[in-house]
Amino acid sequence: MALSTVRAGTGALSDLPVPARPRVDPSHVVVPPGYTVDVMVAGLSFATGMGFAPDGTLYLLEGGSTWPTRPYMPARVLRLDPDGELTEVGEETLGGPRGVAVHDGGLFVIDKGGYHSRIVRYDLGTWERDVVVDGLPDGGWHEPGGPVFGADGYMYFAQGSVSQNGVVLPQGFTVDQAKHPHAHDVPGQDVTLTGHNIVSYDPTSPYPYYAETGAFKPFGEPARAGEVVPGALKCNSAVWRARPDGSEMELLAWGVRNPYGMALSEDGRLYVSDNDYEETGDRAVAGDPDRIWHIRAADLPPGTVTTPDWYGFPDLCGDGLPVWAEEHLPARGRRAEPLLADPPPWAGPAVYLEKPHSCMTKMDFCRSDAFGHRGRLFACEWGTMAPMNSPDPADLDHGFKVVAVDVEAGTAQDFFHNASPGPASAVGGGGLERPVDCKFSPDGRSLYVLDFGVARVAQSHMEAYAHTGVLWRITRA
Amino acid sequence: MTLHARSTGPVLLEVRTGAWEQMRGRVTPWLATTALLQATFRRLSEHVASSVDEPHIRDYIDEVARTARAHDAVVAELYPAFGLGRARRPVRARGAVLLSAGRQVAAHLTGGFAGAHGPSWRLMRELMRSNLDAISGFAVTQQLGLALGNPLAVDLVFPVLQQKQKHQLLLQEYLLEMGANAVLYHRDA
Repeated sequence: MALSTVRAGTGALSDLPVPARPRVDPSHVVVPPGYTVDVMVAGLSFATGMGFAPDGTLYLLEGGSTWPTRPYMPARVLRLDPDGELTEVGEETLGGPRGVAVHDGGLFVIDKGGYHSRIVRYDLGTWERDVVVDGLPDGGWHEPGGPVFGADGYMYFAQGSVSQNGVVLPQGFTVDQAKHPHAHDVPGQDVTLTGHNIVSYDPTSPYPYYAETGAFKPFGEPARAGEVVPGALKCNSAVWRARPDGSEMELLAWGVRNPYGMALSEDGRLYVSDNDYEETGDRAVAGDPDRIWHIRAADLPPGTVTTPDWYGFPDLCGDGLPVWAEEHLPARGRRAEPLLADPPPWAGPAVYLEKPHSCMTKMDFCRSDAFGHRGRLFACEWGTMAPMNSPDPADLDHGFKVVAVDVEAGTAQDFFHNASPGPASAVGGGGLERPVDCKFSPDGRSLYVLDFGVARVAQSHMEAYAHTGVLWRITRA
Repeated sequence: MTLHARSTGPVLLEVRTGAWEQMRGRVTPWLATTALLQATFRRLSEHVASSVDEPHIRDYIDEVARTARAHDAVVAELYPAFGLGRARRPVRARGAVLLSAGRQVAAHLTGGFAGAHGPSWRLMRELMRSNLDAISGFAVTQQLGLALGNPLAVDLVFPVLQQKQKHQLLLQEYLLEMGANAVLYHRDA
């Protein structure tokens, strides 16, 4: 389908017709010396992911219904040709696409929407579309992750939790759960529940009726103490691998709250980003760090993982402490109680811990000496949703940058950010808003950064504005 | 060679003048619809307020009607907020009169068939439906503001929606409160 596009001079970026983001200015962003920044595309709506083909064609996703879920814009799969032409090649109409990768003549897109996430494959020759993976339990708060392809030929992908903080609760009814009232979390292993349920107001009933909800249950369904919830291959808060046609699906890990970003290092190790719990509502957790996990089960040969590793959700924070630990008791909201009576062994620690509410998203390893920083994991930080999900003023400006992580040392340096912390719109600037994805070009010389655009967060709500997304390019001079 | 080296300048998606103006122009008829729906509700709320005998309910509906007049004015502000200049024409007064009258007739007919006596209670049902229509007008306007990256329009609409949602709960509550009396005892408010 034809898009309405125009190639403009850079001067056009200082006078865009979109009131929420009237200018984009590379001179307002900060990168290390020796790198240049330019703008490739402006006017994207709720961009969520991108992926390169070997020839330099770049596929971009507009996520449709994102964060928050409205407005619902066209959920388009776009193609930016090496000569700079932008076209539409597909549309994922239920919910929206979240990640894309090119592999062996196919374009693989993972979609959120409905009760289940799915992976579709477009044949790059015929554009025939097939569903290769379906049934990943969703309909709630968090996102599908990946897909990424390993040198072993396998496809690695993920699915975040339905519940925000371990139990499906009313704050979830501001988003998908109004449409998916039966959505619930599913564990990756059999778990025994403590029976601790949460009594909350029921927003689906007239006046003020209450509901009691347990872990791994839909809203309004309590759990019993000692109840065993069976694990399932198609669970959530989980990471898998499979053949590109979806066969030989193998559960590698679960208990990863929001595994949106996935990246394979040059030596084949799988890393996954993850976001912290929120300090709000009826199971509130404070001071939980964002994190990057090394999924160790992915190091094992395909078909040999008999028990998935567990990374802590819904009862442990990124630092390995229980959500009810003194360090994580909330200043706002109700404190958390244990949900699992027999938690599996924890697969941590994380390889990297970031400040709470940085909102780590997609990542890519630098594999080329041409860019510098070879071996570093470049990770996007979409930026905080405080004060809506945290009362701590210190959380108000976390994120809004791309960092280069040393996964061996567990350290990171800021690589791409604004001159002052926070989004450009906070100071009326033309710099970075909310980076959501970063990918190295096939020639290794450039890092492309996909900027979601303007999302304003207030105490009680958030709003996101379409047509404010930008594709940046950082090149070593 | 750096990828996309042949490209000179950024690609602008839908934010070039022609496409953008076309989308913005499509907001105009929706604003007119919103104006009509809100004016219809306002007229009906004024009529209901004047016909209710029970003083507490009358006071509350009076408040709803007063607020509705303020919301009428917000619609007029939305045109310049979207960069559409002033409202093309006054709120469709004649249309609102007709729609409001139509809802009153419907209230009496459907309420009568349902066995409910009392004009005020029947009108309360129509008022609830009319408010829902008006809410939809403003709610979609909010979506258009978000879609066109327009914080000013969104900020105008948000408090209106909050107030109208509260009024909807209020109207629902009075409908229920009066329901048994109206149907079983043939009493009106």
